[in-house]
Amino acid sequence: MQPWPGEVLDERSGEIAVGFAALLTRQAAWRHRRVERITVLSHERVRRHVSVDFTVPESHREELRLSESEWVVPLAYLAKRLLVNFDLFMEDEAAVALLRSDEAQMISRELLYVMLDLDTEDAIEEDIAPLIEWILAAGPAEAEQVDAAVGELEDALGPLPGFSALAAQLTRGFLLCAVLDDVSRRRVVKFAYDQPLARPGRSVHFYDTPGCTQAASYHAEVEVPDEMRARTTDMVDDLTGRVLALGPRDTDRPAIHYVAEADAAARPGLSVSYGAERGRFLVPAAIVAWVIALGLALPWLFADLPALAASPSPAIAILLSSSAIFSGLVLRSGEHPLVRLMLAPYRLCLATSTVAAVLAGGVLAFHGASGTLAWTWGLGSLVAVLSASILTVEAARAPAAARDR
Amino acid sequence: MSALRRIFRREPESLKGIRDRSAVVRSAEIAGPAFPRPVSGEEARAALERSRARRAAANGAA
Repeated sequence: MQPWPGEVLDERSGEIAVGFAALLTRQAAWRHRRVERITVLSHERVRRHVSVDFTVPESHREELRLSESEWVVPLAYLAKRLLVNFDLFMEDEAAVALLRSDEAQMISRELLYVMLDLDTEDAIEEDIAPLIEWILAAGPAEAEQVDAAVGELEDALGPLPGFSALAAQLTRGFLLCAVLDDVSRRRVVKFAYDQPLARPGRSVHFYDTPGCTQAASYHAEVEVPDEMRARTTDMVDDLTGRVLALGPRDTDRPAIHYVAEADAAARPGLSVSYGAERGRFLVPAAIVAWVIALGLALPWLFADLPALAASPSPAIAILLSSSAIFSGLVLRSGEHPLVRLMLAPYRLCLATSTVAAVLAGGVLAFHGASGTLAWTWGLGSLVAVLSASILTVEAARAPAAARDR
Repeated sequence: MSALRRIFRREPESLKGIRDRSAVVRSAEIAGPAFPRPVSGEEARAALERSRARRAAANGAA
């Protein structure tokens, strides 16, 4: 009678752990390349596409065999938290089976025992078994307690570098294991998932890149939303502030290449500073704001406003109403949510300028007193000039669209 | 006000702690363990056999 799948895995977990021990302690030796593509879906969410290009060494294929035509391959460590829109595919976009976290735990358990035995042969089973079960079952909130328990074990048995390194990661995460039908050749497995921005923000995003330590070559690229550019793209060690790799400036598809050693003392990540292109909104908005500012400031400085109030000039009415129309044209919507968020303060500037123009025109049209006229037009001029200046400075700072450069 | 803040902003002197000053996208992945040295298949198999023998002995004693 054929055994049930769970029984097969139970029986094979030790042998698979042997293969994992060899593969996971030399990740760059069999994972040729890892590519991460980050797509900014909105100001609150990104989608990360990861592809892992690898060849399982011939000497370890038999160890990873689960059945006649199935092999288990460790792809990554995933954090113990909910995954959103997770997909796993082969080169041809065919879906791939993966071990459930409780199935991967069977292998992880054996792997922990292997690493412990490599560090020391003095461990006492009655002490170790509950700790290993705790490591596998621990939630993120228990990580520090588990670390402390592993520390106490090290105090008793001496340094356990391999076991404690593995225990720390298996407390916080689990092994993502694909079940493949062929490992006799080079394979590419892809996975993708959505991630929220922990702190939604406008211009500078930091993307954690723990995968940069897990292959011989690591590439990351960012799909920037339309009407935006990545002003700078740097691989940075957050712990020291050291720039590990520099990407291109002012591009809509920045890419970076970096390979790091698996070093617990570094926290590499991709720091991307975004900017809205100047041509779509900022330049037209600055022009409109200056038209409004001049339309308010010139009459305030040189015209006899009380006389104009007595017989409102059609020219002024046309000028002010046309300003409002132009503002309406640039106060458009329908953009990428991140572009909308980035441009919100500048839209506010333009709206303020327009409101100042409408108020000044209104006071004139309703024959306001000369003092009220002077104050309204004076303040309106000031607000309009300030708004126009802000928009001009930001338009000058903003990146140009590719075709403008 | 945020527009004015952006105009007069100063770039930080160091990128240290840039993660805390940015909108952060955590990875669903975590870094691989920093193992002290590579382990060969033979070493791992021998360790597994020793460990299983100890576990069997402990379970037998219990």
